[in-house]
Amino acid sequence: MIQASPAAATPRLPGLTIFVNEAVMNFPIWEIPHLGGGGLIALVAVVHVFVAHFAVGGGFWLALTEAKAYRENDPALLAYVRSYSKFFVLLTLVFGALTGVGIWFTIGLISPAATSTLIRAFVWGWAIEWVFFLVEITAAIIYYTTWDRLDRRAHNQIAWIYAGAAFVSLLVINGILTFMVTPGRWLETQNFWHGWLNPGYWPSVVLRSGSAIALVGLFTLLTGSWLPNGELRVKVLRYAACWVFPAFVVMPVGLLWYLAKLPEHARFIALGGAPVVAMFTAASMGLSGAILLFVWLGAWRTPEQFSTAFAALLLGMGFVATGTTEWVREAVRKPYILFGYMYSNSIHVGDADRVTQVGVLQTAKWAGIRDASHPDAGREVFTLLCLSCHEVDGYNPVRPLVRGWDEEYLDYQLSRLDTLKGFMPPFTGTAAERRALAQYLVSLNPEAR
Amino acid sequence: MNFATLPIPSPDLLPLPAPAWLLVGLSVFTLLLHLLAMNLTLGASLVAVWATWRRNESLARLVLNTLPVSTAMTITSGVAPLLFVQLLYGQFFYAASILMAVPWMLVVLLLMLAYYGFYFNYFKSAPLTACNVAVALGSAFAVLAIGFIYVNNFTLMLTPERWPTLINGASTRGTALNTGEPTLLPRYLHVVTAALAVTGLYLALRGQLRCGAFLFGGATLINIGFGLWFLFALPESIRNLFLGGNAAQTGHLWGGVGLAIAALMLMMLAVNATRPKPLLIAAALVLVLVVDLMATVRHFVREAYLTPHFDVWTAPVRPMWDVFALFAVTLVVGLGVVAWMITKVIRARA
Repeated sequence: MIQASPAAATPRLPGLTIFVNEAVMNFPIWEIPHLGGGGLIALVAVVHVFVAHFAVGGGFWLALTEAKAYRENDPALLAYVRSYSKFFVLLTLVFGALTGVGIWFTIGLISPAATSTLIRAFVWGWAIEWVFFLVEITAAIIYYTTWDRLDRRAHNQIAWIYAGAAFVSLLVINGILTFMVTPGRWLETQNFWHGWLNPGYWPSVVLRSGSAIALVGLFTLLTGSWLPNGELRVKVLRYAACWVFPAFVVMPVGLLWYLAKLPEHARFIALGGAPVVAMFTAASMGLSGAILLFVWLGAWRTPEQFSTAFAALLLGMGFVATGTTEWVREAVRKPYILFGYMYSNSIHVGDADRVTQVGVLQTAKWAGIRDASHPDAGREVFTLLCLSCHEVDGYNPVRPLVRGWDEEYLDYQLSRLDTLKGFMPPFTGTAAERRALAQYLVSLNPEAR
Repeated sequence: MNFATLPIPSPDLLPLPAPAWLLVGLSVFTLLLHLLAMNLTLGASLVAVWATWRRNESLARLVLNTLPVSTAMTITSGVAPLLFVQLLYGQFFYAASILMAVPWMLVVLLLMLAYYGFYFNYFKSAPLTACNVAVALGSAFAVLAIGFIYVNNFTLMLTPERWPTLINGASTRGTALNTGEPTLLPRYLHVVTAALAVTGLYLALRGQLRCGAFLFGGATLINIGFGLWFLFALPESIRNLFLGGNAAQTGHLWGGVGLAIAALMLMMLAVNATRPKPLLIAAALVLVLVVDLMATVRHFVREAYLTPHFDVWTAPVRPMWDVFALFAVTLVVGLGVVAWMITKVIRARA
């Protein structure tokens, strides 16, 4: 049925010559009504990133604040740090760790081809990450269970070990995350170091470190606001603000640097090429500015009046700012899932020409319909090529996008998808498949015809 | 639906980053670590239900204190073998996972509920109340369900012949389970019973000698039955590998069975000994070897199932020795730091 064509035998990546791939779309597609694969990834990823950044910043917070309590001989502050460590463990060790596993599960189901690439290209990076994860988990459990057992020095050393391991795990994962947007020379060499230490690496480290410090400050505002009114509460709230302020010096530097390192196409999308993405970029920066202002006005200038509701609101704003920033990072990758290597719909860039020639219904292993003239062929093409980003209704819905378009206009749009809409991949299929897809999309709005 | 050929995905375009022997070896070894931690978590979560229900304060205290730590270790140790299975057999693993995407995603949710349940009972367990029983029951149920989902996925990835029956067209709602699989039930029961055995030995080591020995002995004997059921539920060509067809594979399986019986005898001696500790430690070491042999047998079964479709030993390789060396150094230093921290804690108690 699907045989390796002569084109498939030619190397599709310079430097490697072993690829003879008999099919290019390998996996079945998980259909999640309304939410869509993209929506599910966004949901899981944003909650994880939020808690994971807190987990990194929190390590330094615990180490430094415990030491501060010893230095100032402040038993009330020490008791607060101790209760904080329980909150910290319950949030990061359970929710943080499991949502991390959750992202891995999710991307494997939604984008198995890209997940497989990330694992093959970086398996020893993941393994190194795992070692630090092991140290981190052990240190965290020991830290919060040994307040009464270890002497002060040893207990504080455990906090530093946790903080160090957590930060290095950020350094490791950061290389793989930035690779997806700025793979740099890896595209030519497939060399681990070229992929991991890619152009976006250092700016992203700065940005994520800033975010980690900011989030631990916001979490401290929340736990601090739970304290009874008095000297300790004021002290903790002002101390928390001291964590938030420097982050807002670090983060803009990281962001501007990161934007400068983006491929031109991605920067174009972030800064106006796609209005929605530009709006999200602006929202992220606007929210961050508002957080800074409110922390200064509320926690720093009037800590006595600072309420739990206000702290929760600030943390909520931090959550939305984190979410929009991550969403922008995802969005600027378009039309790729791995920039320059694999399109959003899991088709390798090097395979696109062959799919266009042979047809997506012929090259997709799981296609239920092979004949483009079948009445349901258009829907199957939609499933294979579009469902990774578009639901019919729901997440990034296609129905309103094509309302009022007739078949000719749709076919024209599809034939020049990548040039008319820079954030979409080219349509990879035969003319008959394109026509079938156009007919299916027209049928979504029967009343408008 | 009908496909002209089985829709088995092609292997990833990128070559393996190390020779197959190293990756398979690490996959089995890290699975051994995971199985030990997982068995303790699964077994202890079941013992916790019994101990809280019977208001057995000392037994309950022991398992409830163990569970948060053993769960953390189960998750951490589980990451590595899950990484290697995706590296070596990704085309089978991802396809099967997608067909049962909804239950597979539920694993994360169920684990979170179970884990918070363990922490709840860890913080609030004296005196034991009906609430503790209910939470222990909920957590145990979640952990049992996770095991069932895992067995479904790891058998479904071995049987691509069944995939076309579970999908209609290129997309799926992902609600399938592999309930048509003849080895599903015996394999699941074999794992759950093994978990009780490992937990029994742990309890015996931690001072609950008689209760632990009873659990270990009973579970081990019953599990010989489940193991035979599992063996005879395998397709004949695969079963025969372990019945003399392949000397090494036969030796691994029956060596494991023999050592399990040896561990059982050591345990019986320990129950009647004046100083049971050395015998229990010997039994524990033998049991680790048993789990190692069984993890290897599990790998043999996987290879036998996949042989018609894929041979991992001939897959293209382009080793990344420099990064592997960095990993090896990191691992040694990391384990050193963990050992240093644990030593600090133990010394502080003394």
